[in-house]
Amino acid sequence: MRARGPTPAGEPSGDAVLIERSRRYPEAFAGLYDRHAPALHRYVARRLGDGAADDIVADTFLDAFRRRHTYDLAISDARPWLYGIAANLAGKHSRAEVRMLRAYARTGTDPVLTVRAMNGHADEADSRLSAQAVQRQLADAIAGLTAADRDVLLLIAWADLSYAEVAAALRIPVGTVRSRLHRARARVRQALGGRDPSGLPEERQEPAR
Amino acid sequence: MNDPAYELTMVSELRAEVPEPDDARLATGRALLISKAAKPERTRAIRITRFALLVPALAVTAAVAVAITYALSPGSASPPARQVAQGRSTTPAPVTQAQLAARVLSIASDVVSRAPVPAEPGPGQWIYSKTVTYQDPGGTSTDQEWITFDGGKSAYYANGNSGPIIVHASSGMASTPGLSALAAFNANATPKTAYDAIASLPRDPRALLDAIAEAAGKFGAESLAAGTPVAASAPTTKGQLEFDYLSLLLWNAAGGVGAPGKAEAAAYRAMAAIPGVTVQQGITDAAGDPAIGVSGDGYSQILLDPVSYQVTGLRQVSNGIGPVVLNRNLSPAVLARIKAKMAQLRKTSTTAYVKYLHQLVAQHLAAGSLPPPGTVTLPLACSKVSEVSGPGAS
Repeated sequence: MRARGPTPAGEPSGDAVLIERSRRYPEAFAGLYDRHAPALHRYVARRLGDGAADDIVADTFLDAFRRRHTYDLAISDARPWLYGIAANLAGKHSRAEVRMLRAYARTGTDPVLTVRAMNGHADEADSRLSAQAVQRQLADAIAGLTAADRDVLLLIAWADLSYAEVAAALRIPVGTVRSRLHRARARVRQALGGRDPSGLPEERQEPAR
Repeated sequence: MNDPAYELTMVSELRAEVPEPDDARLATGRALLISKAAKPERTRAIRITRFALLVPALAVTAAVAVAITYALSPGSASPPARQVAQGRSTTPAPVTQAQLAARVLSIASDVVSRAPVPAEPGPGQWIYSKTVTYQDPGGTSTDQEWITFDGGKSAYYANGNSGPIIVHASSGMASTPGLSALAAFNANATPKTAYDAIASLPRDPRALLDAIAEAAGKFGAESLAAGTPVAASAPTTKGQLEFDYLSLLLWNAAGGVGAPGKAEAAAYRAMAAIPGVTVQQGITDAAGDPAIGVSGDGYSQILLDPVSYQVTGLRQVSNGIGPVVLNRNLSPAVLARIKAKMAQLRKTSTTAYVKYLHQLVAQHLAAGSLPPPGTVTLPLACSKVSEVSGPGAS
């Protein structure tokens, strides 16, 4: 149903081992980059386009590197930490994000993809032209969410994080994740002409991890 | 549209055609990271030490603590300029040390309790701090940073002390309601949580230390020892735990606006009640300013300004056994095994634990990695802290 990102570490304590190692051998941090930068870049690029993703991903890892001594080594998967840092950095681009979503909704041309098309991805230029009305409505609905609700929705839907991971990433209680997601889904469903949001099932099954 | 989560499916399919970047696209970011990793650490180390709750000095020594004795007597009119700690127990009178510590800390307590009480800053108030670190090798480095009182934003120079200023926002750092002040500090060390935590402490020394021991325990031995060469090691006596945690609290507050004078005074009085606390006079901090050192029976030492008795520095002083630096050539696997064994022994038998530590020291320590007694291994000095209008101003 959802596109899964690349599988993170094979062994359970994979990222924590790398991070701990990087405290003594800083260059070991590059291993974390190789492991997570591709999926993180794609996630940010979906929100803000390639160019902004380049900067944000680079800054995220620099920032994470600076903070590697404070990382809780009991947490083997570093993705919540990294996505949290990226969410912070991406927060500054919130208005640009909304503008691009609105432009997509209005014109049927997605600026996020258009930039790619101009950079030589012609095939994508074609596919974006076939955008359906429903996708435009969807973009408009996502643009209408608060930045906080949008973060939760997209971390779940695009970054494939669990509720608990989103909570850790955004440093909010899991209950808040649930309520923000519930609200975001209700808004989206409404925009798509769905049922009365009050009739929604409370939440969907949390992905097993 | 029977899928009850169809709107999530729709969302997850939006812009699904955006691919993962190729290696070429990621190369720049990777190169940036590598170049950063290759540089000696400066700003990072300080910021981490101050705001991220690293206790730098809780390692193996704890279990095999050797008393540090100082050749100082309470009656000496002019303390010697520089005292070197002696790792011998031939110097008499631990009582003398305790009395001296009690006297100095009592003066400190009086002075800070009479200091004018600054108004508590607003949450968004920017605070500028300049911190001097001495590292060997590397020498002295100075770092400047800005942080808002609530820690919601921080800023630092991209290239050490010049170039563009990078501002970070931590919108998700809002405090969780219902947490005690100490728990809030444990969760997120900021000038405000440190201020609030100290302000919240009981004024009675015994009650204060109990509160500290509880908070330090909840913080977790692993986290307390994070960043030490032997991360599984942790303070083994209540006194060490209390001293290290209290120092950390005071040091974190000192990077902001300190704490209410009466509360700081209570913290100093309580510190004097920790067994094994000693003072060292006539020393200089990393910034070159005179200071009084206060140590527990581990090897962390906080430095007080000899006039204002405000905390100005934090450092580690070897007592001849630690801080232990494990051989850098140890593989992570060996290190993990050592830690696991230490953790297990610590739970089961103190005797066996201490024996294992000795064995470790004999087998695994890099030659010469044990600094002689009195060696200062990581001095940090907070040379300037002020409230400012924003990043770039000091």
